[in-house]
Parts: sequence; structure tokens; C-alpha cells
Amino acid sequence: MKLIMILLMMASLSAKAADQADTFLRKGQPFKSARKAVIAHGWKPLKNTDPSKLMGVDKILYRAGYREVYSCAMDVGVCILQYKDENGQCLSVFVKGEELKDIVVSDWSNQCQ
Amino acid sequence: MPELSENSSTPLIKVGQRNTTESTDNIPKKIKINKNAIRKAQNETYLANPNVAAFLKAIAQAEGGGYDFMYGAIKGKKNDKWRFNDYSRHPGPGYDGKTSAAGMYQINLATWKDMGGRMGLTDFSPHTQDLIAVEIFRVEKAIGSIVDGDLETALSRCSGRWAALPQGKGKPGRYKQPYAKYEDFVGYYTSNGGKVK
Repeated sequence: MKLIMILLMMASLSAKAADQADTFLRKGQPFKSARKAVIAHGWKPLKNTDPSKLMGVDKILYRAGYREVYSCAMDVGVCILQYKDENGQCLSVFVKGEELKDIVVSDWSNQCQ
Repeated sequence: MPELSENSSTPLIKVGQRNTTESTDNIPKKIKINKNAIRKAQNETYLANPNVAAFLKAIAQAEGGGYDFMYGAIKGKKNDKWRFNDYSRHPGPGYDGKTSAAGMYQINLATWKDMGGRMGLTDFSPHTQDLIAVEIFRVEKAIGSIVDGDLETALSRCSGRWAALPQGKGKPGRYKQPYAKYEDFVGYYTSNGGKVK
């Protein structure tokens, strides 16, 4: 019973994280302003642990200081950037675009890679 | 052409040659090597591996791409304006004026410059597209599992680069985008001569 309660609480916390992001992220929002909002709401960039795998657009993002970039898919032009809060919950922000000035939010989720 | 070993070690490539000198000659000799050419030669060897070739074809099927596709090209469409015939360089953005995914493996402009540059390649010919895809496998540390036919590991590592790939058996793609089912990908792979570990 205790285990079920813990699992329910964890699921509730996770859903809360995604719900919370719904209040300050919107699709089509420029990435720079979205990132400011993410950080202002207590999320911390989750640094990529293996930058040797970065290439193309994700390398450009990483070199521009966005160390939380996980990777970018070439075929759809979408990148994943990851954040964690003080409770260890995850927020993945999906952005679309190949040039820094054009990158906008396309989606988000409460799962990290 | 050198073969790949069972444990998928990096192919051995001849990088230079100097004649031996007299034993009394103690002056150090230098051999110039071209790192880009070595990288390209290694990738040519990987490309000749049947599992690597099958994995490439399976990605092409999952992506629905073609060597002459720009972003917006449609397979089977006649007089498609989003096809290119100048393979001397990457064709750049397609129909939306921004997205540059192109060719058989939907390689974008930034990745072409980065990965092609590592082999000293500046064109976008079909063969260069193949070599760049192999270079991507290597950077993603997936080449060993691809050579070995370990599709679970290979897909887990390559699904970060291609949204149309599943992360593994029973798993979706990484980007909340349409993706090929694992079983379909395995079908594309085996029908092109790939062997699953």
C-alpha cells in the first residue's frame, strides 16, 4: 500500500511539472524568452554529459551557451533541451529551427532522455 | 580493402610510407598524414560492411528520402520542384525556406558542413551522403552495434539524430513525431541483407 502511495505521489508530481510548464510555455514562442521563463520558474539547465556526440545544430546551440541541449534531429529540425527542478523532476523543451535567431518552442514534456 | 573484425574495431588504414635508413642514421623522420583522408578511408570500409549498408537503406526507407530530395520533396511525384540535380554542394533549405534536411538521410546544412568537413568532403553526391551517414554513426558511437547487428543499441543511439527512428523494441521515437515501428525497421533492414544479432 505504501509503495502504491509513493508511486501515486511521484506520478502526481510529474504531472504537476508538465502542467506547470503549460502556464509559461507556448508553442511558437521564441526559444530565448522561453528559456528565461523556464529558469525563472525554478528549472535548472541539465548539462549534456557527452558533448563529443554533438554535431550540426546541436553543436551550434551548445557553443552558444545552451549546454542543456541533448540532441537535434536532422530530418524534422527539432532539438531537445533538458531541465531539472530542485525535486529532481524533468522538463524537456522541444524547439524547432536551424539558426539561433529562428528557434522557437514546438512542444515540451516531463520526461528526460 | 581491410575487413572489420568481429568486435568492430576501427579499420586499419595505411596512412603513409617511408623507407628504412642506415642503422647509423639517428635523425628523426617525419611522415605527413592526412587525418581527413584517413577518416574517409575508414568510413569507406564501414560502408562496405553488409550490416552497415542494410542499416543505411533501412533509415532511407523509414525517412522516405531520396538522394535528390530537398525538404518538401514527395516520393513518386513527377516534376517535383523540391528535387535537386547539382550535387556539388548541399542544396540548402526546402519549401519552407528554413528547413534544410536533404538527400537520402535528410542531412541538414549544419551537419553536412560539420561531418563532411571531417572527411574533407565538400560535395553532396550520393556517395558523400552515404559517407556522412556513416560518420554520424561513428560520432553517435553506434557504428560497433550496427556492424554487429545489435539493432536495439544502434537504434537507441541513432534515434537522437533521426526522429523517424524508434528508440528500440516497443519504444517510440524521441521527438514526439511520426516514427517507424521497430518491427517495420527490422523488416527494412533484413530485406536489405542485414543480419540481426
